[in-house]
Amino acid sequence: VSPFWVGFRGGYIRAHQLALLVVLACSGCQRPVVYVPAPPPVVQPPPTDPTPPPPPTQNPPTTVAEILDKIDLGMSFESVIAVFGRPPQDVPGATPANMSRWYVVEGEKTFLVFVVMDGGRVVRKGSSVVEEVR
Amino acid sequence: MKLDSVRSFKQELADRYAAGVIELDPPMARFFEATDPQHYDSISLGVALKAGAALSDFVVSIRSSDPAAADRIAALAHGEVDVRIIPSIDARSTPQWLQARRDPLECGVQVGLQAKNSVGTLGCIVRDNMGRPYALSNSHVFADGGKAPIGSFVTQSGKSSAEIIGVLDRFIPYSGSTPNLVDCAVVRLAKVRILPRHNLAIGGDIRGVRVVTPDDLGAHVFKVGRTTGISTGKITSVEMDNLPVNMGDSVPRFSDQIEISGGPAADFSAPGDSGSLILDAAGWAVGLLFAGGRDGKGEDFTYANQLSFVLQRLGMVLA
Repeated sequence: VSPFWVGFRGGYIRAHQLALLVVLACSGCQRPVVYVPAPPPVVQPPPTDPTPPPPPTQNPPTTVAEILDKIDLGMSFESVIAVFGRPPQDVPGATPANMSRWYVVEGEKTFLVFVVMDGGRVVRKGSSVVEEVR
Repeated sequence: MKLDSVRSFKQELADRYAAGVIELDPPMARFFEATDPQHYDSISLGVALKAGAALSDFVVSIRSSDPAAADRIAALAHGEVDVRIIPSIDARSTPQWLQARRDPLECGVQVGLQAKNSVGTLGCIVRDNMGRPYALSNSHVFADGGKAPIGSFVTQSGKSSAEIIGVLDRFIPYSGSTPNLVDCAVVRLAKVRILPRHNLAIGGDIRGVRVVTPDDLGAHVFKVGRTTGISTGKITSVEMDNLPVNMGDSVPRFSDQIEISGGPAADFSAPGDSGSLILDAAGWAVGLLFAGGRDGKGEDFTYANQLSFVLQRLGMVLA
């Protein structure tokens, strides 16, 4: 028997004929996988008239603890006003020149927040609760 | 002199004075009956620092409206005294309403009886044993020296009903027979907003209450008052006894008082500052301002009760 003959159902076919049969059977039930490379990333060209992004918005601190935390000893008066976002609520003729005070509402409570300045710099800060007598 | 020696010597002078040994005119008995401050002579004794000496070197302080009487006592003390001639020591209220309404109420604002022209200063907020808030000032501010009925309205900046901050709750009446320690009254607050512990004179919250002792002589103190605002002074005498104070229609005597001076050129207080709280440099409340007078050289002296006595007598604590 020739080695080129493979037994098949009691008969014999040639090896190249068997290979042809296998190829035909596979091509009928399976599609070949095709690899398509990803397109290169699209790079937007820089705008011709760039507008600077808006500065990050910082809401003024709302609680007394936050406010006092943001006021550092040695800070300038302008910086303190920036923390509150508004000028002080001093009593003309009563609040001493080296002191500034703000009222801060926190929940249902009102607090007096104050700073004491020396040489244009904060040397002391604190708060005191306002009590409502009914 | 050491403190114990000065105290003994002060007591000896007071005893001899009271017994008439020093032969002052008028006699001691008149002190308790005097109603005419224009002809009222007296000797008040206290403890002061010896001028230019160490902090532990004390002398007897003599305050008198009668230079001759002061000279006689000074001679007995061999010059170891601090003498000031003060013609009249007056209660420091005023009939003038000056300040606008303040909200919230705090130490140093103007207060007075709605029915009387007697304006002074709200010293501080105090509380009773139930925690209810009251305004503290002098009896001659809130109670017209004891003549105003309990329940009288007290206002802040005028006489309209809209200005009412509370009602007179209690006061300590002046005694005519024994020395007074305090001139104080409290008003029960209603429908107001308050800053209980904040005091502009120290730029922060009051730390608490403490007693003034001879160790405090020369120490800086502060107050915020309705007339002169914030001022600074030094304690010039303590344990001041037999101090006559002109209340207008009576001259009660006060003992264990604190004397303060702003110096020769600056007054620590003026009429209308009665009731101001006096604090030390560390923020402790020490006194309740109630009177003052100018000596012959023009230096103004302010007198204050020990705050601890005030609170004790009224049954109150600092808010």
